[in-house]
Amino acid sequence: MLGLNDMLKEGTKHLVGKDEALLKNIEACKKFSEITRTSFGPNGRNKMVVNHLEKLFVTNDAATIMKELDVVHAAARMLVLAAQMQESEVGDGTNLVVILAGELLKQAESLLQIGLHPSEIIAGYEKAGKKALEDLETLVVHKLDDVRDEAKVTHCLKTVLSSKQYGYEDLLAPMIAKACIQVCPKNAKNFNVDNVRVTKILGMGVSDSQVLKGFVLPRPAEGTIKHVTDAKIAVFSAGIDIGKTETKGTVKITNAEELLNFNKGEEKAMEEFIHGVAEAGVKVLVSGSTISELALHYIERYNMMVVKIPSKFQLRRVCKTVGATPLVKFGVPTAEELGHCDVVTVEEIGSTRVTIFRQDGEDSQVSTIVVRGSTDNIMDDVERAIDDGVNVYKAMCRDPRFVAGAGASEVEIARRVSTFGDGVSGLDQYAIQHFAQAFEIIPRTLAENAGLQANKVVSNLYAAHQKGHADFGLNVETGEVASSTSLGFLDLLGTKTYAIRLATNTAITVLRVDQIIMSKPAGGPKPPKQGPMDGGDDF
Amino acid sequence: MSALKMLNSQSEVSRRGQALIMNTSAARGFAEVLKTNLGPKGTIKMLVSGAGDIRLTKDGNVLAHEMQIQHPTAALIARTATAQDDITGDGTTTMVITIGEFLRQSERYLGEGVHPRVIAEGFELAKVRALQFLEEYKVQKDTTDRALLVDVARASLRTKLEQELADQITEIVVDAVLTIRREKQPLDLFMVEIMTMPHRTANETRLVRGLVLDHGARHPDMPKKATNAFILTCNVSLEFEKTEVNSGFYYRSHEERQKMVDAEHALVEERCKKIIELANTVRGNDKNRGFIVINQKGIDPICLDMLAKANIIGLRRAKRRNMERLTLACGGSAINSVEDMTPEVLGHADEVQEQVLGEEKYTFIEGVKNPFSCTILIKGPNKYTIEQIKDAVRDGLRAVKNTIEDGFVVPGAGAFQTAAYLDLMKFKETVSGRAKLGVEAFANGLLIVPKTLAENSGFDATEILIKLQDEHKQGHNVGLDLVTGEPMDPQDEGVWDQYRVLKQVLQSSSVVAEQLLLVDEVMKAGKNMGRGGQEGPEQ
Repeated sequence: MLGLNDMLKEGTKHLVGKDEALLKNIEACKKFSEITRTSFGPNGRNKMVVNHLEKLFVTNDAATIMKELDVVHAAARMLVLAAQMQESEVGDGTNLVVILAGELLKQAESLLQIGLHPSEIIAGYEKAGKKALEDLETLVVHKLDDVRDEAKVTHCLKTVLSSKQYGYEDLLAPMIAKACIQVCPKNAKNFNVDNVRVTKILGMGVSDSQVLKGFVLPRPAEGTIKHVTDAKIAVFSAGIDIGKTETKGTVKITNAEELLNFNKGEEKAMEEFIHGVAEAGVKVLVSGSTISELALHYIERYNMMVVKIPSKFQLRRVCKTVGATPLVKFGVPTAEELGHCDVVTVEEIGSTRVTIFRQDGEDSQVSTIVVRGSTDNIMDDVERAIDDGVNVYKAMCRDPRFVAGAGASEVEIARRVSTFGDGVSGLDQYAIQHFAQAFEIIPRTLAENAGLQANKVVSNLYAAHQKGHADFGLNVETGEVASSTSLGFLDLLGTKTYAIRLATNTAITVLRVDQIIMSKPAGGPKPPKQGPMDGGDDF
Repeated sequence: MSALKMLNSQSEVSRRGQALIMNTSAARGFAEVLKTNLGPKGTIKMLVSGAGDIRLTKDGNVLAHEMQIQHPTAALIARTATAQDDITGDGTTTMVITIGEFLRQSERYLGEGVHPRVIAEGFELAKVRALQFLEEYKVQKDTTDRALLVDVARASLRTKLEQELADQITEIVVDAVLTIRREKQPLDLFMVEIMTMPHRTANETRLVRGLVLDHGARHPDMPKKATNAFILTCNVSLEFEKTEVNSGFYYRSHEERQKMVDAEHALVEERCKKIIELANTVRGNDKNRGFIVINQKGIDPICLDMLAKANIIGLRRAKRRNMERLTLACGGSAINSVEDMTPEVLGHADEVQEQVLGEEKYTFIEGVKNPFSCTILIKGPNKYTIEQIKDAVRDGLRAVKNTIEDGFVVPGAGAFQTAAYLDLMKFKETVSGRAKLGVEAFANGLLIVPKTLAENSGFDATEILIKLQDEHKQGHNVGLDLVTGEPMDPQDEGVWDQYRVLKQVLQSSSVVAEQLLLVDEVMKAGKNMGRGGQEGPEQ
């Protein structure tokens, strides 16, 4: 009888069954999660990743590591996809997904070795996963009652930041809290991550970073006017120039006089226009595209500042900051279309000249965190930490419930799911027990990364939880087991729920596969990514 | 040496016995591969494409497509399976394994020196009889009954997805088809739009009674949400279009040029104004009512701006197919020029909302009055989950459609196959001559379905077959309960197969099997057959 390999195109690989497909997949996932494991928690170490463009990354952010590693193994890719989903949904907890999924598969492997069928393991994991999520809901220890209270928000953000930038959390958490609260809309659920900007400027140290109400544009103004206060702002998305026809136009001139007149006419029109703008009280012009020499000349003459912003996203943010409507047509704007900004100034930070739109009042919709640092790598890493922080703030606005961090909730889940497993009859009870055990990996990893004896820590934790201290976690600084709530180690419920769900689903999916058919890898460079047909906006 | 070899020394020939052996072994090999997918307990295959994309599937059609089969016999069977999918949308795996089994059964007799022609004749007789039996066996039902449709769809979907998700999708597809069903008109499944969103989890897949468009408004000032809204569906260009002839402008002075700039756009502006006028008339004093323009052609920035100022949401470059769906969902009619515009052409929706996911925008049009078009919104954490659901939804929709159109259903879970086997064995007695053997092979071949179902669920196939046959002989019409491994009544459990799927499988599988049996010479000029090539057909 012909095997499948005889029927397929040359170079296609076909892997079947437990040994060839399943165990190999598990192996790959395990190996992969071991890579990111050492970066978990406050004592997690950094990784140096050089990607295919030879760009260097120094980070302990699992999402970045995975993105740059360019994993090709199919099963490991599924872990990466799960982590990416966590990143785009919650923005934090990527490492948790990978570690947990890896551990769940490792546990499944030992179950397979003692002879369980994958479908029994899947059934058990499904039951246990449901139970774990139900239990997690009951483990809420803290609820953020006011998303606009800086101190309270800072308190809640600290745990997240300490796992990314340990040592800087006391500095970064209040900054992020401040920046987020500034732009938090009336209905906090509509908080948009995009409104908190990060601008990186080389020089000084991370401790010199600051929060600005307003927007920082990393380029100077065009003209000579560099500082304006209490300014009305007109935004032209189409550029500042004399209108042109879509159809090809030709100037038809028969003699010198006509040429002179034509030039004069243009100049006059431009002057009229700029004059009109100046009359309207505008002090700053923002252009989304070119600014003609002629326009610049008159703008200078009327003592106005002019800024060119070629990116339409940046332009839109400026509009948001100053509250202006972008104008598509060349013409004098009406009063409603104008924006207002307290200070527009060009400053030199480090060796970069930036234009700052600063609002001293309350009405800015954008806030910016200016990150300083001695190298690009440091700043990139801080930026990633800030991103995670801002995302957690967003998640907080949607669901302000927290569970105890530092491994406390994981141990409690492990304990409860294990008890639940005892009461289940049938073969899936083994799977449920192993599912529970998999959760130990979190405190274990925290301890290992902190250089503590993992076994001792885990047993201490269990002992404490057995006594009813459900919020006892590991204090990585002292190595002692203590109440996470009183130490202020809080994890967002949403992050954890999502991570557990994704990790369980991924593990189950990997277990479900019994055959792999791989085409020969296509040669040559990958096709360029296709954007949507009608991509981008006109503003 | 055959005659062909003399004509073309590169060609390969396999004759008589060899050709037959090659065909049967390829058919069996291919069936062996797909066998593990059959039924709700079938396992998943993981396909890795040349570019490294992952696809998980249980769907026979997807596999036949994606596996890049090169072997001629296997490709022939794969094509038959694809045809099955085109006609009925389901039953591809059944088709492949039935063909494989037919050939395996005939191998026995061929080995004893029976001429293939005799077996083919028997097949033909058996096919006719089996189809007759199907007509007797099918059950007439009121196929507009939702509960029945849910049963049919569930039986189909559980073979493609895990149970929990399958049950959820079942409800969705049935409701979707019932929504678009119109009395005395053929069902057009294209009126169910399938939209995917890489977001959250698969459990959040839902039916939207209305439409979801995968693009959004193109102006930051346009409202993101509208309630109790008018919908204008149009195919009117709202941007400047170049003349078809090569044209140009000549101008002498700035004033002339300005006039031309204005004139160029006047026509488009005129149209835009008319739309705004209509919006103002229908809205009357109720300024809170939304107005949405969905245009198949473009809308340029200036018009967008005008629309935004009039508080109208403008969507440009809508897909052609959505234009048709829009009018079916929201009512009204699509217009091709602004002259046709009257309040009657407007549709209505209670709620229009924009949702942003990363860089993608989605517009939800919901709460429509009397929808004849709807959207199945598939969500999933990653691409492979979404793809898997998408394939399943497609099959589910087809299953519901088939049932409504047939007006008949057939008891599933292997009940039909067992009953048909017993009937054919009786029929065999009435057949005279050696064709008996073919009938017997056909009858045995049919049993592959309950056999594989049992095998995939981890039961002893032979034992189950005997159990089922015993029950049938006693007059109980039973199928296999995959959970307990005991016979059960599919009518009570609500396991129904689609009539036309079975009919098609009986038809095509016997035809293909006959054809393959009757091949006595395989000639291939030029390229080598199979893999490796050297030994070619001699495998």
